[in-house]
Amino acid sequence: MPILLSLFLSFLKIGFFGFGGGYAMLALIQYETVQVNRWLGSAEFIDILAVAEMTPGPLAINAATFTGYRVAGLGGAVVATLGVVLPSLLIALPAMYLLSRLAHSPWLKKVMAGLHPAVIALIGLAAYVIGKNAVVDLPGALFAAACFLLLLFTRLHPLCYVAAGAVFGLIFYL
Amino acid sequence: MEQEQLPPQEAAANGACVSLPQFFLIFLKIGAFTFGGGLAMIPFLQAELVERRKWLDNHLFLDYLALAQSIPGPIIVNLAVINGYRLRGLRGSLISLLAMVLPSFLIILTISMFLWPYRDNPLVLSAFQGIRPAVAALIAAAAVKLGLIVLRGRADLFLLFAFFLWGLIVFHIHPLFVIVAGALAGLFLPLQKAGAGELKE
Repeated sequence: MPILLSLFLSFLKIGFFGFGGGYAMLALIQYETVQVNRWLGSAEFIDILAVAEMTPGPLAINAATFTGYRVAGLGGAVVATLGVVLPSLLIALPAMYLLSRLAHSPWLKKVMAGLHPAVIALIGLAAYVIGKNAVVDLPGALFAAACFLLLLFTRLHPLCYVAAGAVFGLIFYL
Repeated sequence: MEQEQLPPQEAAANGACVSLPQFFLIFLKIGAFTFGGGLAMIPFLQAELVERRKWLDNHLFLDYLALAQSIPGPIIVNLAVINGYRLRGLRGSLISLLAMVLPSFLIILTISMFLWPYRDNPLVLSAFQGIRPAVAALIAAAAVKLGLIVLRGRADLFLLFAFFLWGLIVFHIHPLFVIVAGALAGLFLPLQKAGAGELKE
């Protein structure tokens, strides 16, 4: 399959099945780009997430643009980004017509009740896979644990953690 | 909640109120200056569309937010498409989608073209090595926070979550399979109504 087509289809799949927003989509993105197609290394994938935390914009768009560019240049960036947003357009508009009926339908509530645990499990998977690749030694593990506790009990901006990570890296790994 | 001066339907129906370039600029501004992912943009969009421009009331905005969270795709992109359509039809949804995506696309493109080659620099390399555990912590914390909202006090949902996570990690089940299994479980198991909280940060 031509590379542009397979990029487009991969990100289309991610967009169509990406329930639960950006963090839940990470598991799908990681699966498609790192595990199945081997477009990115696992460390590179995490570094893209770091860049995504540092730059404005939705995570899934950042990941699509970046992967597309790495794999097939400007054309790749365009088709991957198109692929990931197209389902929003195709699904959101019909869904609006159904909103008044769907909003209180017991059927939709049932599906959502089952999707919620699935979505949390996907974010859990992303955390597990990324953690396994990101934490390679004891200082890293201690730093990750400290960040995790601060994240749960304070309201510091995500950028603070990226900045702290850079300082930590320059001290420990240079 | 503030009292509306004009019912949003009328404001939206009156094309002069919502010009496409104005619309484009609003979404562009939010897309370009909001750090911290799509979820961080929601309050800015609410402030702009509901409080400042009064194009929608809060109730409708929340309905749209629930809809954007129920369908697949990045939540903020869904929200842009939905609000764009509501205010200016198909052209509005295309314009808001483009405006939402463009800044992110251009910034990441610039970084990949001009800055990523410096990733092999020892300073950058060690900085990234330190940032990676922080990124892992950010995602783990998101999982725990969302889990607390959705699963708290629901043994059945928690069991389902644990079952899915176990399958994903131990048996490498395809993520799509878990999405489908979750929807089916919702339909056929007596999970009753979802937790009170919506999926949001």
